[in-house]
Amino acid sequence: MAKYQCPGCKYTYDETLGHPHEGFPAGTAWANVPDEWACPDCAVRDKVDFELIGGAPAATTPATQAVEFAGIAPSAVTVTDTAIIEKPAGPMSRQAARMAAVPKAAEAGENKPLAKWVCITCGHVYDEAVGDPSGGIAAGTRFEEIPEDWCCPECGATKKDYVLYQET
Amino acid sequence: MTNTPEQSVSISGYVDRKRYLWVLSTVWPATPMIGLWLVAQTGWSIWYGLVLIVWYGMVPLLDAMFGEDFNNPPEEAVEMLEKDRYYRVLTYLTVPIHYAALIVSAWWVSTHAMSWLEIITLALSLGIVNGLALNTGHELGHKKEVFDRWLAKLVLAVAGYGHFFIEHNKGHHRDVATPMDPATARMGESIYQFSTREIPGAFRRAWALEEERLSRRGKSAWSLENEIVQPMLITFALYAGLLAFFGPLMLVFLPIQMAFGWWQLTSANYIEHYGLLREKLPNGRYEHQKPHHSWNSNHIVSNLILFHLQRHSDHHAHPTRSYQSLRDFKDLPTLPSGYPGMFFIAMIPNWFRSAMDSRVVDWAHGDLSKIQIEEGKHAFYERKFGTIGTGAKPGMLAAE
Repeated sequence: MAKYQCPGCKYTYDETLGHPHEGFPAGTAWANVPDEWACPDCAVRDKVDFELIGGAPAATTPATQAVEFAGIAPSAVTVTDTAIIEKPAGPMSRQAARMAAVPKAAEAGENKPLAKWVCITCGHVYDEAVGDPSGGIAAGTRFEEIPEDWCCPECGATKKDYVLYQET
Repeated sequence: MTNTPEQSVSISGYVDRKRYLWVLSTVWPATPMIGLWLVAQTGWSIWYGLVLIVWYGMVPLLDAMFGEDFNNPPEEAVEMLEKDRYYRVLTYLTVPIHYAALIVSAWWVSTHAMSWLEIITLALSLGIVNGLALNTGHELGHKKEVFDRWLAKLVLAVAGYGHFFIEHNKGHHRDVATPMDPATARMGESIYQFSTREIPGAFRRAWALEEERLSRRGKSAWSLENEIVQPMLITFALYAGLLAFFGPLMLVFLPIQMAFGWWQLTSANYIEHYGLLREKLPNGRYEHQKPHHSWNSNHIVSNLILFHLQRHSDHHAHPTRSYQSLRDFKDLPTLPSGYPGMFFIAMIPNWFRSAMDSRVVDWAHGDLSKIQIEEGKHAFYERKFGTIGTGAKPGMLAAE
């Protein structure tokens, strides 16, 4: 049973619980949720934007997505240094999870834990473990390694507008 | 702030200076009752229009006088603000005030000798307050708790606009600033044209969304589980009760105050995303909602009586944030006045266009292809602004 999170508002779809009000009884596999279904809390993001945040996807009807996920889920969750992140591996998009399987930092043999940075303008969190695939920043890219002209994918603030984010 | 890690740790002792001022949002819907009390004291029928005078007259003036407030709560304080029940209770207390305003006004109309002009003035005053009921319903409807969501349905029922609960959260927020959204106005579209597209379009979208959800649950749309039907039944019960108690005059009074409440929502939808358009990505989807896809207003006075609704940019980018935590961002598309002033000028299309069209064009950096333009108005705007999108053929400028 896997969990998928809305990258916008952090609503989590847990396959174990489903979303009965929305018509997905407990145990409904993510693969059986329609693609055009929008996040029930914010509607800013759709199902396809959701990120796998833990657990293995339920084996269900042979939906292509489930097959695609089954190959990468375990590595995506375990490969990241557990000392870094208390919560399971942070948000992981499908694409990001694939890249995270071989994080740059791990290749380089660095021991410094991967960190998270927060945009002071809009609160967007840059997670080094995830990178910013849509902005061309691969998973595992340290904040210092991001080009100076990179900007916040949420609000367009500059790299200078980020501060180190510490989870309490 | 700079990139120093030290500054990321929590800032203690943050004080929200607007904390107690938010009470204004709670008590302001009681204004029709204050107006009636003033009529009783002075005998002057002008007080029937107290809400109209304050809303369209005083608040825009106060907005101009007190100006804008750009302060944001520090990110570290947001969790504390979100958890603080005080802010939530203020929205709860607004609900009974809306019922009281409607019932007291209906009672007054049926028990006092009033001219038609006085009745209509009071109905319009109450209509504005119904718009505020939609605002309260909006804030509550975005919350996840069952209690808040039921209060949202209850308060929306006062204005007879219960489908807003579904339409806004699941429809408008999903489609905003795209051509699919009946609640996003196009540049050059007057509010009167807009209303004929928005009001029926919003209801149809809400119904379709609810039908889809219920069909997944194996239910018909005609069920008590339908969250459009639920508040609609409350409205029927409430209005039937008023008719029974206060007589046939209600057949005139109630529709006017209800329609003008809807008009307030139409006004809000009209100005909130006027002309704005999200970019279509190569994969055929629209880019997700960002702060610059909504017009923002930091005008302090109108924000304080509207539960921060005018910080609309952050609201659409982060719909689950509560009103007290909404932020201003740099370089947002900005309205020249608060909502009340904008609602007023929206009713005079030429005035509204002269205030807004150049702002929309500036927002798009002069690229008309990035703007939603009313059908048939493209040529007009190309002549007027002379700017052509990146997709335009060279040489068109020569026509200028």
